[in-house]
Amino acid sequence: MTLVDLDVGATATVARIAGDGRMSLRIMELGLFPGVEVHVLGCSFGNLRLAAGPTRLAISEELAGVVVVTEHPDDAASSIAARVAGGVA
Amino acid sequence: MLSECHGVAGARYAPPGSATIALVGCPNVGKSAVFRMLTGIRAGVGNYPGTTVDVGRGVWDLTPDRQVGVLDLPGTYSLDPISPDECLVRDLLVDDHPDLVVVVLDAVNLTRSLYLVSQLREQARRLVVALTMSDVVKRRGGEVDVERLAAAIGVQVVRVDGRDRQPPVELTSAVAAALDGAEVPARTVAQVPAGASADGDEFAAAQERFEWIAAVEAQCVSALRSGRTGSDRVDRVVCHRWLGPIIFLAAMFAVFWITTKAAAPLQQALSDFVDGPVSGGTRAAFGWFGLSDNIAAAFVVDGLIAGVGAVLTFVPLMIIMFGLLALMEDSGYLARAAVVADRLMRTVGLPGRAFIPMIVGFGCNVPAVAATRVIPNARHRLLAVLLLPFTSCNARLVVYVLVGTVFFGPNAGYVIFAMYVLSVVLVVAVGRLLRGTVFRDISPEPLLIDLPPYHAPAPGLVASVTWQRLRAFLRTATGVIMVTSAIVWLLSATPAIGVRPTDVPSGFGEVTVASSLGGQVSAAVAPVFDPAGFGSWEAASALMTGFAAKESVVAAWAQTYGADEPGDEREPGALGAYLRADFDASSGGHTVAAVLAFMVFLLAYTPCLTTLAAQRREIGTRWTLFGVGMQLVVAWVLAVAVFQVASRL
Repeated sequence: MTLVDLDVGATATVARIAGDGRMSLRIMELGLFPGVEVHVLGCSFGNLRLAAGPTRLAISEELAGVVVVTEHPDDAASSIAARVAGGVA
Repeated sequence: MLSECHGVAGARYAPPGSATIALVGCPNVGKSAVFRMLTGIRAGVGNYPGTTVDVGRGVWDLTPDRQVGVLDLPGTYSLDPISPDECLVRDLLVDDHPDLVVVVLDAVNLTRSLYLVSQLREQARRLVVALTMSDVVKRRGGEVDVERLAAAIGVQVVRVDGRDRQPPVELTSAVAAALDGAEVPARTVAQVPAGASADGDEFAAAQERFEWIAAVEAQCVSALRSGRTGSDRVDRVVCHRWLGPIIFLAAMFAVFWITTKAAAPLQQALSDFVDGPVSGGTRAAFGWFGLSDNIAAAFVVDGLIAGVGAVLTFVPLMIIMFGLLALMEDSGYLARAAVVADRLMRTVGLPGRAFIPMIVGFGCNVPAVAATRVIPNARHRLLAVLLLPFTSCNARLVVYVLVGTVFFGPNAGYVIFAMYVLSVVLVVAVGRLLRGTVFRDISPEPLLIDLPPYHAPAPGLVASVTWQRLRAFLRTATGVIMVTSAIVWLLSATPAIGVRPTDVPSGFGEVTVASSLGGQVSAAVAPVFDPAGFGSWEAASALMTGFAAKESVVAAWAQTYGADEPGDEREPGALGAYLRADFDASSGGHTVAAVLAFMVFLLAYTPCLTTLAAQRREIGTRWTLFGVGMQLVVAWVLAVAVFQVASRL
């Protein structure tokens, strides 16, 4: 899954940056590098607000889609529960 | 390249042969505060030669008898650039090799800051680290062991506080020792050296650098308290999908209102001062030599002083606007504004930050052009500067009110509102047209922005930034305005004998508008406006005067018809009757259509001289002339279309 798939309030660990090119490298340089824990603070206007340690970033959904993450088990369970409750398979 | 950095407005230069220190760091680490601490008032900001990149340059008294030059380079996250600013930093650091590099690190965001250090360490060089925000780390329960950090990265590290007026003794000693010592040998921590060509595995190299950083931090950093911060709680409101735009619009309206309303009395006072004591005193001085009626006196007073006065009246506007933008930037809000406005501005191919100069442009185009410096990407900034003149400034409003009152009576408000709506439509439409043609190379810039923590702006830093930007603007605008004002005056003062037999030819400087060379030029240009329904020399003359300053259109009309300029445009008096007769005659009876066409042309045609000077400073002469041509074409086509359609309804 990628950052785009996370719910607001979810926490995950960056696994890798799927894209290539300067913007993908810049994503790493801004603090979203493999192994770092990232927390989704909010989502509005097609952009995500993230916390990665002391760093706070706003990232568009298109860029967030190249950041592959591993959701934390507790958050994964609550996400699944929320989707099931919402009737989403 | 380093020694050739001249022409920076207001900068003082170290004696020839002095060492040059490059000050680098990520954005929002407090680098500008450190620069100001080192150089004080003996610093300036301006374009680096051959670029449109802003670089600060100043002098630091390292010891009473040793001065060093300091270059404040644009903030950069790494030496792998994605913008012209970062390209300049990379070129200066990697290719030009300054005598010493002082890297400003943010103790709160050490991981990210150390990434730049890791790249800098891949070349042998002299390095010193200045560590800021240590107090913030302490408040959040963390600690950075400076000595262990220095040992781990192999570079001297000194704590600094950007709020201090003088650099700490430790920093001065560290820099002096580094300058006199040998270069720190290179440490290769990644397979692909920083700044090398993109052929290597850059991602693997970046990952290795982060592993090195993690090892460094493990030795010297105790973790900060995690969890939501005060800034996070504020952002829940400021970036909320409904509250965010409301707060943003309120902030933009405040900038717009303060910039125009608060500056207005100051502008009036300056204008009165120039028109009164300065002009009067100068005429009196000429009178002492019996030259008060001489052409030289008229040229100096009505040409040059009037021109300089026109620039000076913008100073209050610029001070307030620069100050407000610096406040917003230093407080951390500007980054949030960019997030909120991002989607909206992408419709014209611009990033969210471009909304700020657009809003300011509805007050005055001059500070709005200068405000485009908040846009990091040079091509986006260029596009924004070209679109800005389509925002309907307050000066145009003066003319709208007069014309609206004369021709539309109680419906004037609706017509004026329609002009503002058209202004927004033009910005979007022309923006899309340019994106599809001249600016096809601009790739949509997806949002990726750092959100610095909110903090109270530092008054000294805000004042310093405001002063530096104002000084740079005045230095550029004054020359252009003086030359152009002199030309406009010459045109209006030179008689055009034989063109109008009913006018008695007068001496130089005493002609009426109708019998002046300027009037002759207006008469030659007027037929261009026949298809738009206002092909009279009076209307053409007013528009040509509006080229100097839009608010001069009303005064030009009054002068043309020999009527009194109305003290309140809502009470046109005799001038209104002349205008009605004029537009009736030129439009063949389709008066309303011709008036609408005139208003549309006024909205879209070239900006005033001072705006052009500001544009030239930001985008150069070639692009400014392109903008002038583009606006004239758009204005004429629209005006003709409006008249041709409206006259048939």
